[in-house]
Amino acid sequence: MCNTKFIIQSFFIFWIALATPLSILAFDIVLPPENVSVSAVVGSTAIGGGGGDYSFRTTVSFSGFAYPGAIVHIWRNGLPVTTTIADVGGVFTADLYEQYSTNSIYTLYAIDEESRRSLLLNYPIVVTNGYYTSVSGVRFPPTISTDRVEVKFSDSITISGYALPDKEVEVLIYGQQSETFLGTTESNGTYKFIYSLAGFQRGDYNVRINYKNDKRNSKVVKFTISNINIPSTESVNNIPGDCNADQIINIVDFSVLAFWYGKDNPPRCVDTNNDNIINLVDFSILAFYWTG
Amino acid sequence: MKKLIIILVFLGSFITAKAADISFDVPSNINVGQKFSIDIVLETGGVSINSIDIGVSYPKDLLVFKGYQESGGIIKLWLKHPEDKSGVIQMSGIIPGGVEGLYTPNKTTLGPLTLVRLLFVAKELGGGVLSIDHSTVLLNDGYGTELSHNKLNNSINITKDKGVGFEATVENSNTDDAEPPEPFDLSLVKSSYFSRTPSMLIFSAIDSVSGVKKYEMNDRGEWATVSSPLPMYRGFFSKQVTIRAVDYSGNIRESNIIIPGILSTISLVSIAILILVFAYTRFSWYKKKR
Repeated sequence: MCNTKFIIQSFFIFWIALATPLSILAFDIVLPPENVSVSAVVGSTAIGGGGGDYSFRTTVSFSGFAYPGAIVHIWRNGLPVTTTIADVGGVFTADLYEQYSTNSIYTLYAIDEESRRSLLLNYPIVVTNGYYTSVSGVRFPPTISTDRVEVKFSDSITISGYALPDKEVEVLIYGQQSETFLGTTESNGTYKFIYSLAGFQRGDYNVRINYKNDKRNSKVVKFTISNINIPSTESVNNIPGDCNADQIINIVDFSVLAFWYGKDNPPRCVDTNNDNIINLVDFSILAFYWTG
Repeated sequence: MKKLIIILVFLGSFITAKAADISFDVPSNINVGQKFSIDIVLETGGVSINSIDIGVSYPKDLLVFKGYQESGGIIKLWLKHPEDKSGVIQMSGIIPGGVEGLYTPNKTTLGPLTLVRLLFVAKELGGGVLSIDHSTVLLNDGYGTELSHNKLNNSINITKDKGVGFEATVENSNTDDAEPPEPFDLSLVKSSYFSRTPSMLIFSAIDSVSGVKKYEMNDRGEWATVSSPLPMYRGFFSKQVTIRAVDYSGNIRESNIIIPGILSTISLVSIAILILVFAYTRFSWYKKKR
């Protein structure tokens, strides 16, 4: 009798807990912020032989939002497949014809009209043979660059890049101190914020941008507040792990990092988080900034 | 108190079921002598990850590790490709750009990711446990933040006893992989004059059936095991370097590159001309003197 009462009590407590605060306790399964949806229907383009023996062409379609005039690159399993150009509204679409039924990893990145690269977006997708698989709602975070890598104390920094036209964006400057400000992009997708750093202490800082209420951030740009202004130029290395300062993070940078993996006293440019150790964390930071 | 603990455990098990975890996807029916694959699966919990380091323990008395299927998992850039070290299959790699989960058509949630597909052959009848010896998963956040996750072990059962010809089956279990690794390039990354990083040879081959087991370089007639990146110290003269990729079935693919020497052809010709000019002037002077 006591046991029965205990079991009933346990279930009662469990269901109360389940009904109300579960969203706090449980690990939420949230959709990616840009609301990517993947659908598949039987293909409409017939291929194959005669005598009524035919099949439908396997197709994977990507569509979404980049920046006005941006070139969107699409890779499959680490190899380039196609490119497409976004329209004036930043909208892009591309169809890929597949030969086999596969589980493939598609990688997308966009290059804006001023040659800034977005971060990579990966989509591992179950592709069914003979189906038209549509991946819609892809959205790249804005691109970003700064006019200076070192900013004179109390001077200002110019933060610019591309995003979707007329969208609210959130810029975060963080380091020893942090500040966030909101802005709106122009009708051609560009943005340019000249932000005063008065009140910021000397030291190393980062800046990044994202669409308002979007968890996907742009790449992070580093800068230092010191006693002089040093402009950002192509020859200046401010991407973590970019030891050859070509503004590209690829297999060469991976190999340089791999050479120093586990070795003492690594060069500063290799040690992406400045902890004097080359370990998996440095590779993770490199993978985050990867441009291909 | 006992009641409270039971309730908490009950609730706790429900909560953790939705957290990030690494588990195994094991076939249900495995016979002795059968070749099969085991997937290491990651449920990210909806966050983007880009780096993993995992060690997998398996019952060595029951299974023989035979490699990995390159196309089966999402990791394409290995820091350490899957390798059996003292009974633990160790591997680490990265996914540039990060990944959150598997997109399946017409589903609103992301599915778990297959990190890697390991290949085995069952050699003995019985049951054992597959376990995660160690694992690190890092977020794609630009800081390398560690993802807290559960490690879910799995049991494996080999049914049906070995029959006639079993030894031959196990020994030759990879004979269905007759294809060598795919052609691959050797690239020389030259060091700058003031860099502490030497010039390096980089390479990466793909073998979609059984996976690349190792790379070897021909060094004075002997094949020595090497890995990418391979430091290259340039000699006075240019030389040819041959690297071969060997898959888990023993198939080989070779690739060559000419490493330029410090003395280029032009500089060698220039030196030769200078020597000839010097010799001629000396000879003329000597002749005139006589």
